[in-house]
Amino acid sequence: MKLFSKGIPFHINLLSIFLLVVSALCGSVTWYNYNANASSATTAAQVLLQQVNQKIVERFQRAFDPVFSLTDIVTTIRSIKELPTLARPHPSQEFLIQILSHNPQVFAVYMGYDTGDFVEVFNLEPAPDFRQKLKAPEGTHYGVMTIANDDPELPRKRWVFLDKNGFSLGVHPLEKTDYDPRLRPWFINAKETSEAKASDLYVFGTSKKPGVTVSQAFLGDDDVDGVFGVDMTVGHFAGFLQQQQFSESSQLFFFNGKGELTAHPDPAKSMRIAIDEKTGDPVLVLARVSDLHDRILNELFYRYQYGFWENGMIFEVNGEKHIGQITPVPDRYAKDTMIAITVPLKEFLGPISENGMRSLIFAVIALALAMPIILIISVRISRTLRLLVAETGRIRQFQLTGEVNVRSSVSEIKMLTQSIAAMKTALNTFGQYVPKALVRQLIESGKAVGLGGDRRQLTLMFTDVSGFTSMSEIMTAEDLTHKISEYLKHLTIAILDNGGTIDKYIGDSIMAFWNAPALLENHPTHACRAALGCAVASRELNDHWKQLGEPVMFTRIGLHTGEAVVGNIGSTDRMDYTAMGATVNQASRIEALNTLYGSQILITDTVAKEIGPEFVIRMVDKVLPKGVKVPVVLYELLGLRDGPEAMRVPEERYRELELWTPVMGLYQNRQWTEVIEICQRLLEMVPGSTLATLYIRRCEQFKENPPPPEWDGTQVFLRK
Amino acid sequence: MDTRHPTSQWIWTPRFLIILLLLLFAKRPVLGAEPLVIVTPFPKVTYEPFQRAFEKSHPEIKLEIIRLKTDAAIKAIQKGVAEGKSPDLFWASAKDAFEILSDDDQLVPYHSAVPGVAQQIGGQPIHDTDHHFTGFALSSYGIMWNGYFTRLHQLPDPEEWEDLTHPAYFGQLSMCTPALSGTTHMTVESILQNYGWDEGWRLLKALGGNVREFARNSGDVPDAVTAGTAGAGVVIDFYALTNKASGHDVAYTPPKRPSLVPANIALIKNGPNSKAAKQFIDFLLTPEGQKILLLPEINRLPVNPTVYAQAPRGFPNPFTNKSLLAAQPFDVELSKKRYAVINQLFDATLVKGLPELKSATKAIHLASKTIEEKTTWKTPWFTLPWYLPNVPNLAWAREKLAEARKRLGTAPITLEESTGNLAEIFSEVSNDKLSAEQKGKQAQIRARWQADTRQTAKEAEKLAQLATQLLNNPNSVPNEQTPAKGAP
Repeated sequence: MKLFSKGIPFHINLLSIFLLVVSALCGSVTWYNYNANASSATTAAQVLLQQVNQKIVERFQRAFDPVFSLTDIVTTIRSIKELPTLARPHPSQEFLIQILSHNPQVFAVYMGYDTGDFVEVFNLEPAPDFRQKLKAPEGTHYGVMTIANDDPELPRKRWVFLDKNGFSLGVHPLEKTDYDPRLRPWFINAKETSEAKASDLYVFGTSKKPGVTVSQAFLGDDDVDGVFGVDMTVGHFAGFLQQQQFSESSQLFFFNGKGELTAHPDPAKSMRIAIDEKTGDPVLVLARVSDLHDRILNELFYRYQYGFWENGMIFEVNGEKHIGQITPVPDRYAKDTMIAITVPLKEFLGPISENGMRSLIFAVIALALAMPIILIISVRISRTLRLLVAETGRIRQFQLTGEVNVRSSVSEIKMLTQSIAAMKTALNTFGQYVPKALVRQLIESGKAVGLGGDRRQLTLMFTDVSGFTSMSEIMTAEDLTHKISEYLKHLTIAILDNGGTIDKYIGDSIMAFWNAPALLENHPTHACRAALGCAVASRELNDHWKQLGEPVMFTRIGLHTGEAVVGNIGSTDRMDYTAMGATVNQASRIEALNTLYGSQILITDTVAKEIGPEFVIRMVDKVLPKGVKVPVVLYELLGLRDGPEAMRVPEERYRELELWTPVMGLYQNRQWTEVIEICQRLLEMVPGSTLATLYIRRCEQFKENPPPPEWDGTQVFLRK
Repeated sequence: MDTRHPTSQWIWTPRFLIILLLLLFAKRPVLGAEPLVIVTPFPKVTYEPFQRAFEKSHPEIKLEIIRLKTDAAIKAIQKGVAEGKSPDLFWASAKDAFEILSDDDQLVPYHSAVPGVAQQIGGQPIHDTDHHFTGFALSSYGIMWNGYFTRLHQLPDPEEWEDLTHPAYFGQLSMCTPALSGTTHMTVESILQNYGWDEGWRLLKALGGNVREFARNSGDVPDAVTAGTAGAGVVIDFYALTNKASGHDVAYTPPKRPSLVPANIALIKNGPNSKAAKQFIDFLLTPEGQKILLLPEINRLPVNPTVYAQAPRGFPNPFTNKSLLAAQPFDVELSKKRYAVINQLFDATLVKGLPELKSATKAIHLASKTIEEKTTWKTPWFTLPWYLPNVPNLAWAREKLAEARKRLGTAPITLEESTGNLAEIFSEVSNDKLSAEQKGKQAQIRARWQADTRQTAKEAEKLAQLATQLLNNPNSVPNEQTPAKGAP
């Protein structure tokens, strides 16, 4: 968690929120879409399955209904009631052939009579295997089997083969047969009722084909009673079922209440003909649904059997979903029979799943494309925020210069920028009145600001402008203020640049000190450099003003190092950070002494002994200012031995300084004449030298009035 | 009332006689040698592997198999012996059939000397003590169920007969009747012996109440379970195991208190090929013959314990299986004594009284479901048996339900009656040997049994309905009903 110990960056935050929201949105929209589509597809699938089953039922009707009405009509026709003979064709033969040719679903039509006589016409065209078995001649379309008289011991069965127009192609010799129509199920069934009736699936007696018979009894008026029958083979329905399978993995089948498969597109799977062990008759053995060992069919079938089925139900087998439909076949066509269909749901949902996947991929791509845009936007917003943070950081450090340069189209950020700019302007104005550097230093020192102070070594500086009073009299207030401000500004820069703390401005004077509030090593050195800087600044300003023809301001500077109390004084509303004590007064007085020696910068011995040899100084006096007990040695700071041109002491001055070097020693040894001599030589070198003039005058006085014997060269000042 | 056995109606049709004659005589002369004639109710899948193996090892002997249902077989043998046209062997499951023939002196004792054949299991003899018939395979009766049924109903696999009395099995249970199937008779008899007479009848009636309709043939029961027309059935093990072996999602378990029954073979009196017949019996008992029992389409337990070493994985071995070894000794004498009474009683009470029995059972299931609903806190996620003390009439309803169950489960007659003079009245099964007086007496008794059971079932139904009503409609309690002691 160190990574984000400062918090998560704005752009990462924004990006994650965007990703989260957008992917949740995309996901839920895709999911909703998929579900909505899947549910309508499922409904469509249910409707479709229903229609398929309905179609099958209709197909049943189309196959059976004509047969039912046919039997209804045929049983009223007189010609069928006539008993067949082996000698000539049955009077209804032509009519029966007509029935076969107009009803392709019918395999055979026949009449059985109460006497045991029987006549049957087969459509052999669609049954080549049966035709071959009968050894029918080439071109045979119809076969007519006639059984006349009921004595099984006599030959009584005859096959006649006809072409498609009903012309005879051949006749088989008479055969014996034990076939008795009266024992056949279709006969027995029909005798139970007067209406046409469809049988269960069974094996036809003559052709040994599995199928269904519709049979109806007829009354023979004055002839013999009998039963009229129509056979339809299973093959006919199986072919139809094959057509109805609308996909490879769909399954369509019929089953009955006993769980037997009564129809399947592949009849070989659903039924076989076996020989009854007891009777030797062929019997139809139907496979049970479970014999197919198909888990999908089993699931559908057992759910139905055990009452866990609803039409259109979706069930799962091996993790794959299937949809199914079970519809009953009307009892009239097949008793206790159901049509069942199953299809894997994915056949309906496949395109929808694909669509869903496609839109998901699209969403992911769109998201991936949008991400850089979001990243750019968030980085931009983040950058403006960072800039503003940096700006406030600068404000904290009182760097109030420069404009707030942040551009953003986000109104809140704009407002924030404007606020910060306004704050900066306000602080800037305010900062004009407060010692910015001091406050900055105070902030940097990390100390809480409060009343109170401490005692420490300070180097103090006082500056003053000579001839200010006269200048103030001739200038307008505005000009004066402006000029003073410019002057103070330049000097202030020189002081601050050298680590000084401005204590206060007193009119044209500046009070500054070093080594507070922040501790500063070699503070006398820094102060001296500042003093030189001030001198340079002042000179440059004067050069400038001279050019403009304006009055110049000559700056005098005094430096002194000593112990002083420094700290905040005043009230909590208005505080001053200032230095106090004798040292401060002394520094102020020393500055004033510049006039006496004609010097620009005076430093005391406490300062002089701390600074390095890079500074060029000369001793000018030893004084005892008023109120001070220990005499103070004063030095004039002339400049730097090396360094910037403006601060360096010019070469020609070194001769003057060389000349001056012995002066102070001679003066203290009361060798007045020698001092006067040197000073006069100095005057020749530097005409009007205040210092030389001062010492000539002093020595001439001492010549007349020699100082007391305890005099050690100290000049005592009686006034302030 | 026509009391003849349903099968006996077609047994004597001319067509049947023709076939019987054809089978017995027409096909007999094969290469001069007389074929060995075996009468058996076993299906072709069962006898054919034995036939093939035997004819291979004894090429000089040809087999002639006559397939007849057990009942018809007994009659055909009796007739054949009487007419001097005895078949050679009788080969069947039901021990009782052999007992009948043995009592009738139709069988010839033969003690096979084949080594390694077990003589008894769990204290029960496998073969007839007088060697009139020989056990060649063992079977257990048990529960067969359809895996889809238990899964769809979220029921545990049944383990006990009692499990089949669960309401989910209502109308989903298939079983045959003792009169129609020898094996079912054995199942019923062993339930009555294992559970005791009263408790046994309570269980039989509870099972019967869940039956949709009684199967006409014990072989129809496993078919119904496989075809999904029943969820579970009372079957003999090999039927279930055979269905399972052919890949159907069905399972079988013997009940906790099982009965092992031997399938037998016996020499018929005056059989012309007694030497070949003995060879066939010996062949059945040799490891070679016993091994055939392990075939998935036969699935019967060999009586030669060494053969189990060759059995497929998971094949039960009764000689080591503790639960099968714990089979109760079967009281053959008791069974024989009340054989007909049990058949008649079962027919009169459970088969004829089925509509009333089902109706009462349905009412009992509904009452118990209502009690459960009222006292259980059901949520779509979990169910808590949460007793609600303020269900009005709860104790009362429970009492009525218990009464209903007790009433419905009452044994139709007492144990003493079953072995007393009733046994004598019904002892002679064969219809044509009965006098008109006996027939009348039997009909009278059956009518009384039927009326009694109908009455008890109706009373039980009313009690169960009252229990439901007490809970669903606490304020509309009929006036004549007074709260029982302790009820609110």
